[in-house]
Amino acid sequence: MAEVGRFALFVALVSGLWALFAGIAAARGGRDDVQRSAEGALGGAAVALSVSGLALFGLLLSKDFSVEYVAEYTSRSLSVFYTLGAFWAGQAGSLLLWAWMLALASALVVRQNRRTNRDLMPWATVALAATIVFFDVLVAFYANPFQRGAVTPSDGQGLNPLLQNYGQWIHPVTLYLGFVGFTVPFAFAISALVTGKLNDRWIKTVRKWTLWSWILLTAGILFGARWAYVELGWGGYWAWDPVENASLMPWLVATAYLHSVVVQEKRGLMKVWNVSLIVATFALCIFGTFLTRSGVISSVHAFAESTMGPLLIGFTGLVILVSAGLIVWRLPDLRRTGRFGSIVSREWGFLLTNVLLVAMAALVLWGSVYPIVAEVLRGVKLSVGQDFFDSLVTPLAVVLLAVVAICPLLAWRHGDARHLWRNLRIPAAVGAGGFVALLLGTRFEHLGMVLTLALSAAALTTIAAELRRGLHARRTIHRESWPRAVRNLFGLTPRRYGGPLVHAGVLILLVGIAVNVAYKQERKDVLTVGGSTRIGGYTLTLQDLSLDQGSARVAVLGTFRVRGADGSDLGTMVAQQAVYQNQQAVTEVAIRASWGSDLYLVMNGVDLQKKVANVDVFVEPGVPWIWVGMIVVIVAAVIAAWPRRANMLAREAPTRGPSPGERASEDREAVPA
Amino acid sequence: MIGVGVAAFALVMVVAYLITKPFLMPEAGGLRRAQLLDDRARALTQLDDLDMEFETGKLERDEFDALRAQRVAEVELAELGLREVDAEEIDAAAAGTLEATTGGLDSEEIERRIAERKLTLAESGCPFCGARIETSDRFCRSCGAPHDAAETR
Repeated sequence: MAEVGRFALFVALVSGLWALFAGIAAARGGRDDVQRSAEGALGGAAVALSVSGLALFGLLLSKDFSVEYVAEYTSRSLSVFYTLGAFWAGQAGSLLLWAWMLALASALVVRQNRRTNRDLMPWATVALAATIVFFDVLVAFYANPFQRGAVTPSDGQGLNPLLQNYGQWIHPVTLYLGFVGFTVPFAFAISALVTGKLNDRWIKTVRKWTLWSWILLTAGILFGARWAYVELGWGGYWAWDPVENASLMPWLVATAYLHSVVVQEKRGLMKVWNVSLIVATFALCIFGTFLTRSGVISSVHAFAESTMGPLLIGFTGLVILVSAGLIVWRLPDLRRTGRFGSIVSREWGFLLTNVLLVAMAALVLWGSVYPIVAEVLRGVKLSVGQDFFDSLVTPLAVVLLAVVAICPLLAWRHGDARHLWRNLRIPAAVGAGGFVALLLGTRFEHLGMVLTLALSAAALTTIAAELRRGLHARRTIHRESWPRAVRNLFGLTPRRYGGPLVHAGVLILLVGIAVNVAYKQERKDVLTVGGSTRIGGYTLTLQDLSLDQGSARVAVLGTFRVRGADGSDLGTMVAQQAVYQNQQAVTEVAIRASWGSDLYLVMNGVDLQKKVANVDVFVEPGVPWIWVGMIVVIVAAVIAAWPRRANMLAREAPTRGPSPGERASEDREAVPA
Repeated sequence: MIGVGVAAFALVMVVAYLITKPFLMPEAGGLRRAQLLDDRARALTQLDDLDMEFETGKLERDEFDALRAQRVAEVELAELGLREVDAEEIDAAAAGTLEATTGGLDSEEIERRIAERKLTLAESGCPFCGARIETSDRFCRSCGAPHDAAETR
């Protein structure tokens, strides 16, 4: 099976190269049959890489330890669930997943555009094929998962215990799919630049691709945070680790794009900016892979050094150079067709949002690469601490919160202060009232948290008002009942009203983080059986230490009785310290979650003879809200991106009342403020 | 080993088929129609979006009118293209019929049929005054009669 997998990699390479050169030939010669052949070759690469992917799954399942990758990441005792998840536990498998998913995405693009965008397809095919070829070369020549070892061990080394979490099936996969998905908008942007077809069509064509990639990247990042929290035992969820940053940078830039693209659609502005953001997002996805995979930086993700660093950085450089060259070449055609309106207009709000998001991305990028730069230039090894990111990114995030509260209320172009104030007064009152109340309630401590909460309250009020206004508009325009208006608001104008819901999720998440940062407590203690420790109103008593011996691991279980401030019994928590077959030791965290706060317990060192355990207990207020926000963000974004039939609008049309254009003069003022 | 050989051969055959198929079986026509339908659907989506923007006070009247006119023009352009494609197909079909049935239909009859079809296509105006109606209009711009958009096309 390994031979089939390896052979399929070469077939995919040949097919990808055919797609690349036939695509170029079709773009220059204009022959449809040649272009169709190039597209067929993308499908061919997808078939071949699927064979490779399935072959690796087969090798893992059959525990064929003659294959180095299988021996390195699985063992006989590993469950089927984690054995299959070991596919992307290492470098070679991860890169194969990249190439495979990209080829499948490319085949989907071909299918979607069989009859449309024929003018854009040749160069889009070239860009997709070039990326597939690049990753296929990496897998085939630099990190081949089908490599057989010199000797066949009797058992494998097993999967790193930290990866033995359900998150292994969500976090890496969604993150990779997000990275891969951004290749499609990039390919169409390149095609629009080369062909000079720079109207809005390429943007509309890739809208869903951008949105779904963003959702997957968001889910990948957030599930990664959750995984780190429940598995790593340090009581945190984000550490500004270079690999975390590698996923955050493209996310920030892609988020900026999702906003600025609206300005191009509505006002014909920011065309150069949009095409640059898409290129930057893709380049950062590749650069992120470089940071993660090259071993140039130290990270909790601790990937081995490899020889592919120069290739990845070279490809990133090539993407930037070619794209920048094309953008400069097309600058005259990318001239804006509209003008920026008054300073309180919506386009300015979007511009400010963009500046803030891109500034954050730039700071994160600088913080992540500075250690590399310092090592190259000054020969010193250093790392950039959390303080750097916290102190620089947090103020920008707070300003962004204020923008989220105000921007949805602004009108395009002609926004004026009077109109703004009319809409803003209620959110502003809620924000100001909340600020004063919280400031007094906290006795002027935790100013950052107070500001975040007050601005979030104002922004949530804005969102509620916007939704109310939207529902009112639907009822006025279409004469719909309330339930129907609600359904159609999200069903027919999903982006407009899914967007505010995404904002609501982000706000809930930020409130959770702000509260957690302000009120988190930690207590380290050494407990003998029967001993207690107190933290944040809780009393934890170590009741028992017991041994749990399984086939794959030996674990010490610590059972703790938890009591509340009033002495009430809140049940028990069981923390573990386990040693796996491959001698890797891990702690299994015990978490007692409630609506407002988590009690988080880690048992670090245990002496069974003396019946003593080192414990690290955290009270984590706000953390449950981070996960609630995470779910709201993802669900709302899925609502916004959910495919809907183009003819829904036509079906809705007969129920419509007079058009706003016709009605405008009569009841313009009647629209609620 | 034979299994590996068979699997490899099958894979090469599938990929070779995908690459060579377009040369052996060229794609059927209808590309322009698909693109036009796509363009029209997009412009219609945007029109609905614009209505909401205007109704919720995000767009001033002049901006709304300008953007709406732009989208309506896109719909019109797509409609015009679709009519052309329809007419071309009728011409082609009629020519085909003529060739197939020598002496069956005279040129006058073909012209009559084409004209009839074109007339049907053009008969999407206001049922009350006959003025032209855009796909997105809910009221006739000429006489103000309510217009069921489903009847347009």
